[in-house]
Amino acid sequence: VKVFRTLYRLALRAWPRDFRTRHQDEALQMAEARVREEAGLRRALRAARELGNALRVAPALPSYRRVAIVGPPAGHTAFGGAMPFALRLAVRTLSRQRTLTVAVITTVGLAVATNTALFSIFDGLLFRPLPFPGADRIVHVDFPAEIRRALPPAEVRLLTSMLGETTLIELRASAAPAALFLEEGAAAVRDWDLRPARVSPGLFTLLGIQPMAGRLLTAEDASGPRDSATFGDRIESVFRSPVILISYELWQAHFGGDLGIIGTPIELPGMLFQRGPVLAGVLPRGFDFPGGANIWIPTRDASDRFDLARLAPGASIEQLRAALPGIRITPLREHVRPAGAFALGVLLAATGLLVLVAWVQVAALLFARAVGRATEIGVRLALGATRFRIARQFAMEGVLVAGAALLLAWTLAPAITATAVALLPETTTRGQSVAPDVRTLAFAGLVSLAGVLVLTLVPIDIIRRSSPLALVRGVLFENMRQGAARTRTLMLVTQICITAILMYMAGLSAQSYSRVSAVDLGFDPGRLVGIPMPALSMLVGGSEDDRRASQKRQMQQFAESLPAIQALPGVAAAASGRLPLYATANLSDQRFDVVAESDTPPIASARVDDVTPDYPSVLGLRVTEGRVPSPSELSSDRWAFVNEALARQLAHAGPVVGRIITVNKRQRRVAGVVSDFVVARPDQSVEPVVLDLTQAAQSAFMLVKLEPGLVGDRAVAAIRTTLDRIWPDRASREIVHLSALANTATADYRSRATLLTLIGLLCLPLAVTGVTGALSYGIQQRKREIAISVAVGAAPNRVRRRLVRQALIAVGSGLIVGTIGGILMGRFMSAFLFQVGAADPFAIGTTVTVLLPIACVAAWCASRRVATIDPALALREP
Amino acid sequence: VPSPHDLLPLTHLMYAVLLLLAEKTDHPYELVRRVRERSGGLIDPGTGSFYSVLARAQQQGMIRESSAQADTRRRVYEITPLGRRALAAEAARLASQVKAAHAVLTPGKKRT
Repeated sequence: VKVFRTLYRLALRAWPRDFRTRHQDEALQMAEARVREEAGLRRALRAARELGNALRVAPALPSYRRVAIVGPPAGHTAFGGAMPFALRLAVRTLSRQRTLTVAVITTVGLAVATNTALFSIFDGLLFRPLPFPGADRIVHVDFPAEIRRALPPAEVRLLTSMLGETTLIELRASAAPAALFLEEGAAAVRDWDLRPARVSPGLFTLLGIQPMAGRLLTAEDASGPRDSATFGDRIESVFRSPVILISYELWQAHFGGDLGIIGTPIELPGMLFQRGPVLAGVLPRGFDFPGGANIWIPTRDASDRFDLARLAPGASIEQLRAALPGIRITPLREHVRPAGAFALGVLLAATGLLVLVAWVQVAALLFARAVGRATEIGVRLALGATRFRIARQFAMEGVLVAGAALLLAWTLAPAITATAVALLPETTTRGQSVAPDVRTLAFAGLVSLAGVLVLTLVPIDIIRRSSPLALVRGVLFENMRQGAARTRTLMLVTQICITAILMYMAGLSAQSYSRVSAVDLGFDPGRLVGIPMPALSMLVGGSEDDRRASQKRQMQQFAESLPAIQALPGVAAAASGRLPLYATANLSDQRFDVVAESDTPPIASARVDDVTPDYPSVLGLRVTEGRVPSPSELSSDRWAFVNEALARQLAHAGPVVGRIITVNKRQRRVAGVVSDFVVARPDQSVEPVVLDLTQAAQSAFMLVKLEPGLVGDRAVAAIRTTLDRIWPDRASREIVHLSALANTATADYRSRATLLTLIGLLCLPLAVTGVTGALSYGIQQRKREIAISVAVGAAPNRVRRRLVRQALIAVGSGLIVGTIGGILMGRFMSAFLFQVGAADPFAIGTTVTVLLPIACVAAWCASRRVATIDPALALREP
Repeated sequence: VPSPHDLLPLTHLMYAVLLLLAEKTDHPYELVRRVRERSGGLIDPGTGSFYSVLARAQQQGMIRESSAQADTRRRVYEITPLGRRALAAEAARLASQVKAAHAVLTPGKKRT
């Protein structure tokens, strides 16, 4: 009943004012009594009916006063017919206060645009489902080479065959970017922006993609000479042109959307094809899987070599994981999403703060506007306009402003999104479709709607509190002037505070990024490239002899590769071994216990890798103790290097060099100690490493140091040709530059720093408007006081200084509170920070040195208005 | 002086209110209660609707606030001579309507 009373009193507001004053107490009593008569659900129904009834009859109730001057022609009802009139009035009012209108629309529009852009990015990176039908049933399958090597061969064979035969999987396919088809450094590659991918023909069925024109790839397109049964077919397949698919975008940009080229050989400059590829078809617009590809080259479907799978109906990912232990199975969505993306949640919070800043700003602008319109409202009320009518007009103005802002936001959002995406590291945005769409438009619309509410409620609140007479005299909030000034100052403090928090967070992220980039990797990635070697593939099926032969051939290929590459011109040195920093997510994090003496507890757990003896020198590690064993020593004993981190732990029990240690149940003698280097991520502490020395390491990677200058650049192509000769059936010829890996490793930090800085910078103009607005309002309010001080001889500059000082006190308190808030936020952010404490002097310094001068300048410029006050005129005003 | 015929036809609720006020002067809450009671719950106006009818009747001069008010917090309404004439006219109109209906519905005169 209490709630009903409040609601009913609100509903009665819709009644004409004087009718309400006469009857509202009685009506309220009566309605309440009638609600009390009922019980339970009937009471609620009765209450709802009474409320609706009160609202429904409102337009029909007579008003004893007639609305004069600004009123719609007779016959218009309050709800329907008067709207065009209100619209006309709103347009007129808004165009009269052009500067203010533009300021409000720009502020709101910019804020909504930024929000839309950032929301698009978060939405695209985190929330939007993959654009494939039934995408939740598609999984990524990974059998990491390290686990393969760690397991006994029989088990690997078993797992591989199970992977190929399990009924839990309905469809299998493979897809990988294939830069090997690109001519290194060719200008055409850059101009055409070709991004080839090697995919198995089954991929498109698995993803549920239909061609936009032409046809998809077939198993026949992918078959090579080895699949052909007869000699004649083999010859034919060698001379057949490759069949490819291209993206809609490429088709439009470079072939003008010509349907005639489908089914014919086309020319793609910069692509290394032996003969012109035949265009089979064009894929639908926006499809760029995997990793932003725009050319798809077929590779064979193989049951034992695939990385994508569609679960069979009824099968779950847990079942598949349980059936295939050791094989990494992740939903495709998680696999494609950047690993650090969920850390972007912090940024989502930051954008929330940005909205808040914008709305505080808008509220402040409106406050100033309502103050300026007090007289107008007062006159209209005195002439008999109902408060409802005035509120409606504010609502109409709000709708117009919000509509214009939304339009502006929608025009700007794509550009801002594109800029933000361009600023983000490629690893974060790769393969994601990030663009504003209906969802983000809806988001922007919702934000604008909130704006309309603010735009309407603020003036209504002011009308509610004041009488027409006071309003006509230009006095807002009788006896509440102090309160108004205080509210205004509070708004400014809040705004500066939020801006400071955002800038502080940006400072922390930037600091973390610079610290991560400055981490000593322990080696110079500059001239180093890594070449992933093929994993030893196990023949499934076939006789024992076949298998042995295949293994033997692969061993030979491994043995040939290293000397062949070392001999190339432009190659300074090459070794086999772990590739530091490489695709950390795909490497097994397996560590093994290191035992110094038998029957003693392990002293450390370390990563273990097979390397060739010159690996430390190729990587540029210093051998601080011991030496590289000679080939004869190597053949007689098992030797290993340990890094300094492990050596320190071993040193407790005597000299390290020459010590026998047991790792993973195998004994080896420590040949020497090498300097520490970053194994996986620069933001993790250095961990113990054991480098097992072997003459013929079959490691997953070959590490090559290139000669400086042009010779080195050319060597990359030579390496490819050489590997091509040794491994004719190799799937991947990816060559990784370690400097690129170092960049990737810091990508998350970079994207966070970039986005937060962007948000912080966007807050700055809002803060400037805030300071300016607050000061202008203060001057307006204290016109009389200023006029008197000027009249009695105060120099305008002194008055200005006093005003600026007062504004800066507000800015200063906002800064202090904001910095404290930033430090608190920093505690929450600590997981995303690197070697930066929550209270970081650099971040505090940046926040203060950026915000304070800007606020000073804004305040000083805004205080110019003091000079325009004519004491004679100002004092004569009522 | 407005003619009572200009005010016809009266709404259901207006007719009921005038009828009750013709019986005796009363205040709104009691009026609503009586309206409901008399109609056997068939006419059960919302508070808002009821005030809307009161306001219209008052504006048209069919009722007025009684000058003899015992309680200042409760407004008591009485019917005016115009209201009484309008009520009579409405009753007559309704009676003729009822007669017309009878003429049609009586079985002897029903067309086949």
